[in-house]
Amino acid sequence: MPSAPRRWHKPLSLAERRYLHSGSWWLWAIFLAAMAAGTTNPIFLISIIIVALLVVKYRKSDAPWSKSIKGYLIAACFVLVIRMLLVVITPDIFGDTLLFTLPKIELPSVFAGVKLGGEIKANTVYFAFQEGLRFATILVCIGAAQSLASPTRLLKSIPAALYEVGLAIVVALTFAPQLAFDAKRVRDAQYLRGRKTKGIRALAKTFVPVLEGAMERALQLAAAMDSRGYGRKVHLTRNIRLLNNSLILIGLLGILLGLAGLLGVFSQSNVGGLTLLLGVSLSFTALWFAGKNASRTNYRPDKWHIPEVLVVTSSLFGLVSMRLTENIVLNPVTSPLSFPQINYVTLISIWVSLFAIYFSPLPPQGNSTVTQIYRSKIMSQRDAA
Amino acid sequence: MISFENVTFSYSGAKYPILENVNLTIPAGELALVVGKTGSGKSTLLGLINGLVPNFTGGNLTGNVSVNNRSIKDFPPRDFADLVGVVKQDPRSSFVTDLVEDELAYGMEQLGISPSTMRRRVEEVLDLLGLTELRNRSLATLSGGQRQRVAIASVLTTNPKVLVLDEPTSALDPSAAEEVLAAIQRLVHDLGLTVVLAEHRLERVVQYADRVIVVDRDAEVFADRPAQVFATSTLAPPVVELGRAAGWSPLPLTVRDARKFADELRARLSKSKPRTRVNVPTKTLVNVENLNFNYANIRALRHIDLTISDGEILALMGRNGSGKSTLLAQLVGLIAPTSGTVLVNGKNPTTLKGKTLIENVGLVPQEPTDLLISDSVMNECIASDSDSGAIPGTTLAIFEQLTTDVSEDLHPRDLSEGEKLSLALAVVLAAKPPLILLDEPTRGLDYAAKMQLVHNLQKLGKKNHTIILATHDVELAAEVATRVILLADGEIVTDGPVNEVLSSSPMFSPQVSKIMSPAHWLTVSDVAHALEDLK
Repeated sequence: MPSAPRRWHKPLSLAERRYLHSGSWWLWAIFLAAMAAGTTNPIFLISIIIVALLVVKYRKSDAPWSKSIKGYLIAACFVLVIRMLLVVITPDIFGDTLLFTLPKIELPSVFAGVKLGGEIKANTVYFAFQEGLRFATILVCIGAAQSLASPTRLLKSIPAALYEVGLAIVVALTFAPQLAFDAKRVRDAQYLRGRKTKGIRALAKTFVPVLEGAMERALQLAAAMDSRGYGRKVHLTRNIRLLNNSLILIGLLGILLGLAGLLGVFSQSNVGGLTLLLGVSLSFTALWFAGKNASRTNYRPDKWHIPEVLVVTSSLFGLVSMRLTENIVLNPVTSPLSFPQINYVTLISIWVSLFAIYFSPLPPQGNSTVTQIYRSKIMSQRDAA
Repeated sequence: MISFENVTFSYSGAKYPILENVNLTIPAGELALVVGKTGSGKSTLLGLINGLVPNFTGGNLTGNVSVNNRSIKDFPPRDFADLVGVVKQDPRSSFVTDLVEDELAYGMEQLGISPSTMRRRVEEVLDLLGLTELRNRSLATLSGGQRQRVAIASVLTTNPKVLVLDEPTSALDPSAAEEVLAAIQRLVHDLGLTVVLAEHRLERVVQYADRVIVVDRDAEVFADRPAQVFATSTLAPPVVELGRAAGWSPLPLTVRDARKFADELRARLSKSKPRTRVNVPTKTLVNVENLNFNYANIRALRHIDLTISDGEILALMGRNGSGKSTLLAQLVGLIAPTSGTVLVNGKNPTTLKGKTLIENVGLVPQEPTDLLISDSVMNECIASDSDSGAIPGTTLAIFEQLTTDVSEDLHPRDLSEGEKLSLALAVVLAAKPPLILLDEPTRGLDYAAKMQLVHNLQKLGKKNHTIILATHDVELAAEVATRVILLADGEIVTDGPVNEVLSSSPMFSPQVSKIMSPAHWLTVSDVAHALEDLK
């Protein structure tokens, strides 16, 4: 029997349209997020946001998941605003620039550490802005990864041991737009019955049918997956599976602790590296072990090519240079109020992440309903003519 | 290939078994068509083939079902994945991935088929079903017919011997249905696949069937050659009914067979004319002027000019996505036009709200259950009375006129498709709107329910209600419509009396018209009446 060649997905050139490996986009974005996590300097943070948005603008495909950046942007603005409004109830930090004074409400001593109203200092507001912006930037980075990387292609690169988790995520992702569609249908129906479509009560009335629909679809999907062979062979015994999962969990925990250590959450940061190394090696052992026993095969898995490596490197550069930057630049003082210091080498190295646009191939086209319908219409008109 | 031995199955909590003592064998390489009323157990019969019933539905099964000597009592559905491919009516509910190519590979990945074999089979199946152009497309962007073909392709990659299809064409327009059925026929002919297919729209599928399985709650399930079954069956496509009315023997099953008799019938009817169904209009009810509607850079409706009088029954036809539903949504004020005016009963529907809206126009959506919000038929009717401000009992009275013998305590979800539609229609009628819109009303309806609907719509038309149907069902349009509008790309292509439009369009002409052309006959009942008059 003739067999297909083993290496089928070798890109011809950078000009060939294809999806970049999802893992590559995620690493690129995680490095950006890690940069953001390590600084409160607004100049750096805003640079990171701009870089992330520009890359999304030029490298997102027209598939539905590419639109998720919008939601993340809204969430980021929300977080920033909320954090700044919180100054009203957070205690002052030292500072001397009084902005305005709100009526102060005395709270019982139980709420020590929380104040309500009183003097609002510009220093506090500026500090809140910095912190809020940091968190907002991290959100934008995650949003960028979501918009750039196809969730299902990511699933394909997930190790076999994590397949179930990944599948659950993908199913959830495809369910979300369906829920929105259902909600609209139910609202339309209420309108058609001459009922109110706005307000809390109307919302409550949409909730049950939408949930019902989701449950029903979940059952149908389960039946469909079963009849297509899902969960057909399980070679691993219970004990081995248990061992495997615990190894993965401990490994992931190690990775998290290690990362936290590296980002300076703990006072002694030299623990970080070792923990990270241990965590990574534990997880890899577990994943390799589970993968060896997997009965499932993978159709056309994504491969790492030079562009993937370059994209990841582009943001790694900024991360490294940030680690080498002095603290006063990364976390500017808020009291007295002053314009943040800038280290130009660090700033430029952040902007190097923008090279991802040049390193990565364009995504395939023609995936959105709109373009597709439009195109097929043009085609059919041509056929007719 | 497939055998049912003494199969009796009842759902838990049901008083009577839905299938009783079924004995059937379906030989390899045949296309078996399962016919029966809704609720007769067709879907149950199909579900039993790979054990989804009772594994996913619960219930009590006695007897045995086996495929290729593999019994559903010994193996769960997933172990039938390499033997039986199942495609549902709405394939969207069974898609696991988001790209066409990945969906095709999914089943094989689960079976652990080697990458090189997977690659080869995906290519083969893409070619077999003509999907190569679509391989990189997102599933969400496919049209109905494409979606159905992808669903079939995705179960074919595991090389099953049996393909089970539950109403594969009921949501499709005529040309998309042809596309899917042609693909299925190719599978039977070229690959020797055994296909079990349930379908209400017999006119679309009878010609392809090698064997017909009749499922009826009051009689034994049996299988026979199509010619034998339709000689007596009450469920029959129009071509068979025309044959019976005209006394043809042997009964033709396809339009092609029937044409051989047609010359003689046309000669017999040369002096007769089909009944005209034009009402005398008294006033204009709907006025649409230069209506345009853009949606995300697509011009969904363009330059629509339309006047509709009271008593008209208008059928809106056209491909999926040609703008039928959008036009209905405009008429009921769900969406506002980008430019142009829409007037219903002299009012702009987008400005109407609540009770005034439902007193002017009512829409029965594609999924009639969307409109139903209560937990029993009785409560639904009470809610509807209060919504419309009608005298208590109005909705229930209307519902009882539209249908027969339905318990008021049932949950609307447990009604048959036809009863759901009747209930939704009753809810709409309670407010006495002069304009009634129905979106794809015959989806999932069996022949009896469809005849009931035809009867109800004709009655409403006589009471000078204006009815607009968006439908793919040419037989329905032929039965009830007085006027037909063909939409394409959001534009009105044809607008005229039903006889002229339907008998001149190749895609949208009913079976009788195909047989009788060039004479303008549309329905069996018209021909039967004319024959009656001759005697």
